[in-house]
Amino acid sequence: MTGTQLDVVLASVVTGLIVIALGLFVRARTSVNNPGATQVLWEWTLATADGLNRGGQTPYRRRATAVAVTLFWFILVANWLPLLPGSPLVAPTSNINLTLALGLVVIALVHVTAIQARGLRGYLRHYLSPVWLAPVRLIEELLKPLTLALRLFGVIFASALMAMLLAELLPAPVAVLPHAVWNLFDVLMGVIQAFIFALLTLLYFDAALPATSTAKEHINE
Amino acid sequence: MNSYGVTLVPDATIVLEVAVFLIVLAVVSRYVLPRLQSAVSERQRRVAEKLAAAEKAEATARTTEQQAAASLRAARQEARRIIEDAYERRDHLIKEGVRKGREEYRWYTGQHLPLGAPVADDVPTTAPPSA
Repeated sequence: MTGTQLDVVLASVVTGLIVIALGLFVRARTSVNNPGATQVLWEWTLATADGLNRGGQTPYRRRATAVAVTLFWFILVANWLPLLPGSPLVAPTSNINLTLALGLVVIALVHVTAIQARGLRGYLRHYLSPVWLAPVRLIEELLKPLTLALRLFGVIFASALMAMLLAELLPAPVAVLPHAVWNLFDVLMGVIQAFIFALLTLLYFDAALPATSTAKEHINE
Repeated sequence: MNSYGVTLVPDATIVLEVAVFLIVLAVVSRYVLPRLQSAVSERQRRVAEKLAAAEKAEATARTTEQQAAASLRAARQEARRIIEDAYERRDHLIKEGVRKGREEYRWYTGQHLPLGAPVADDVPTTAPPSA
């Protein structure tokens, strides 16, 4: 590891501040009867995460939901950061440091939560049985943060590269339309990638946590 | 592309990125999501209450409808009985009228039976020929 890329950190800090500001805005204006558009969007992500989190409402499942919702908003804002009007920043998710950091945090939280939920013995039994599959499970767990990080990084970096190429290769008047179309595509891609990251996070939590009766019912269905 | 380069090797930035995300996660999961969750729960509770009230109202309406149908059925039966009674009374009145008419006929034609005495059925029901 070498030095620090301050512009990436700055973009991530701006992303974090936007997410926190949005969250606190929603918190300040939370209404049961007349929710605003931002509250509806946050509630929608919360409900979607709750719905995908099949194991019911244990504290560990709630933690999974919180991580997934926060990841969704953080990645979404990070992906959309360069699309904001007048933004000098590039998407921090187009840098491997942020995506790998997110992947590592997710996997670390998954394992810490699994140990808390199962106990150390139950956790080891879960991951090491059958014994002959343990090496495969270990490789799988090591690869999870990498796959999470590389998928997001690859898509957003390619998207930024494509936007740059459009700007470089086409003369300015001609590039307007392709650039606009590509920005629209970027908006959609930003949502999809944020959703995929959050969904995979929930699946990793689901695989690590003990199945509750609700989860078993879902599996039986 | 400044530091958003193609490199796949993380550097010390990753530590700061982890810190940034953990701070965001802490703030969101501590201050934002519980409030939202309670709002959603409260709304679900209210919706459930309204749903229960609507189901209760529907059940009441169904009972009232059944009661109205039963009342209507009873009223129709009563009406039918009243009509049958009326027909019966009409038939009785006609028979009574015919009997009295025959009596009067005999009285006028000289048979001088007292009024109310039984009358034979051979008395013609048509009026007597005028003198």
